[in-house]
Amino acid sequence: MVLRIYTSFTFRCILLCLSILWLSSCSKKDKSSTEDPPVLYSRLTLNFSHVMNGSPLVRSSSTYINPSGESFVISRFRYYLSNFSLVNDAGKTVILPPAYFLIDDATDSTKRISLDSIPQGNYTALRFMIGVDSARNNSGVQSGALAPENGMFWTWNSGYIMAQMEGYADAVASPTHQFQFHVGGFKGPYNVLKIVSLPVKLGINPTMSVVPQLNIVADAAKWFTPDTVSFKQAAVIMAEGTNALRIANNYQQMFSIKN
Amino acid sequence: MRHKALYIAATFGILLMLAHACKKENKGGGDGTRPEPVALQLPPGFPAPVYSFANNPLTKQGIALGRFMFYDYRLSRDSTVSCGFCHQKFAAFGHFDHALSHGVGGQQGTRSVPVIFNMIWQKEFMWDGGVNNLEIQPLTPLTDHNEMAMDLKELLKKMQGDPQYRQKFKDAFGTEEVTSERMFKAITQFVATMISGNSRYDSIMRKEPGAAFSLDEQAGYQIFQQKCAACHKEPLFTDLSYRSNGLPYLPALNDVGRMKITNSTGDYLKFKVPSLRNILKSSPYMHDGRYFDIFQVFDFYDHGVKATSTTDPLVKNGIPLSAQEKRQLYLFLNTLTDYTLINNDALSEVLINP
Repeated sequence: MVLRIYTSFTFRCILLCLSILWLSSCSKKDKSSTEDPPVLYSRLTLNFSHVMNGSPLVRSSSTYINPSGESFVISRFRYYLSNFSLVNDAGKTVILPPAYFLIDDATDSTKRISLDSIPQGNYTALRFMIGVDSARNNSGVQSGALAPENGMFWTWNSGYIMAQMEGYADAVASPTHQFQFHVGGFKGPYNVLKIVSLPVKLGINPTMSVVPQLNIVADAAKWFTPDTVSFKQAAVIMAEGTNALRIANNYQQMFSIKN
Repeated sequence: MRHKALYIAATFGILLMLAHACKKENKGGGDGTRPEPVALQLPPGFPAPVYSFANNPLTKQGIALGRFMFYDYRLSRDSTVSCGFCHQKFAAFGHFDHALSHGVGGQQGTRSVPVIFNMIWQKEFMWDGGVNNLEIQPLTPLTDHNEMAMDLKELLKKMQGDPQYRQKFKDAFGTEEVTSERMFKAITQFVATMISGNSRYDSIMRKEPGAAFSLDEQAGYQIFQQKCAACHKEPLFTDLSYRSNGLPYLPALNDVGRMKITNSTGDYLKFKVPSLRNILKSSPYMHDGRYFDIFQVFDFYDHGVKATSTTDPLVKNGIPLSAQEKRQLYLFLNTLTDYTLINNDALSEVLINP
């Protein structure tokens, strides 16, 4: 009885029709995704390198001196970048899709980032934010670079640590001589979010076989100047406030393009 | 005729199968069983929730995973303390009998355990409002060295290595991947179901047949409306603001309250107005749990207020309460106990078999 159904002509017809239907419906979906116009867009790779007063930053072993004359060693250096945009030669700002990166001097793979969906054109400036915008600070648990296990999130007073420098300095009176600059705060007068704008000469032509690259240098020395920061004055910064703001105003100047 | 019916049935079956296969391909994985959506029953007359479920739709499996984690003591550094350890259901998810929160290794915090129900109506969390989203609220107790003292990275590794958790994550989110985002969303789902809006007070407000205040309760309700309701606003019984109620400052705890969050001296000694729902089940009282009995709270408002520059004008001169008023207020507060919350089996502890 059951067998007869499977071997029947009607059943085979239905099966055939359905398979065609199924195949066509599925392939239709695939088609629509390839119809996104990749032809007009390209990617852009940004390579970051970290220096201290012009020479490569060496964590944990090189001793540096800040403008207050205090010697120190850097053990940790990381920061968030987000809200990328490009300014084209017509002066128009092209906002790139949301992307958040945690750049960590200790992890080389984080120092090479890729920006997507850059329209064909000639660009004169690259813009980005140091830190994580207030929307992401307010909208609950995040993933990827923004995942809380990265240790860049304040739990007692919600918000991301936008940039972090830690190390050791004899000038710090505590037994460990550790200094910890955790720069954060996105509200009111203590908002540390900084927009950086770097002049570039960048032509995006999607027919190019190589992905265009920009080499960006971040100079850690800029954290300590022009508003002079001394370890004696503040060795541990772990909350929003004037100290965090002063450092953010300083490090806003740390980026330059090398190419 | 019979064959025709069978053909139709078979066609339907195949159609379903194909539709399913198609879906599966588009989704890129999954074992076919889908998390079942759950519609949250909100108490009538309550405002719209603050928490948005748009990126975290409630599902049966998500809530179940959240519940499992809530009661899993292995989420603490030395596997002794779970969320439910401090947030006890019979105490309306507060901590019975302990003034200050305590955690692993005999550590003690500086504030009392807040009750956790009706959390989806709160826009900020903790006594000082330092946490700005329900999803990230559990991060604090989970990682605080006075509480569960867990390293989040280590915890994720631990959970990933546990087949039971992998299966539960798969049930709730489609794949076995254990991420912090999924973790916190699932805990949020479970906490979202801790709703208190069905006390005797509520049935009276809803004019349910047979539900009525006694004369003393009615008098207590009037006292409440005159003397308490400005801050403990119905129906949540809190206006969710931060106020200094004139509680004498304790140098030993040196807790400046919301000032710690805002850096503003205007917020000195301000703490969130707690809900009065289930208040008789959730002693001790105040941010530091200094009062174990609600009558001590009445006495404090009657003659214990110590005004500072930030003390709320509403309580600056105290709130006079006669012995009879205290009694009637107590009887009214008793009507705010929600046994459907406290006796809800869906919220009770689950056995953890490691």
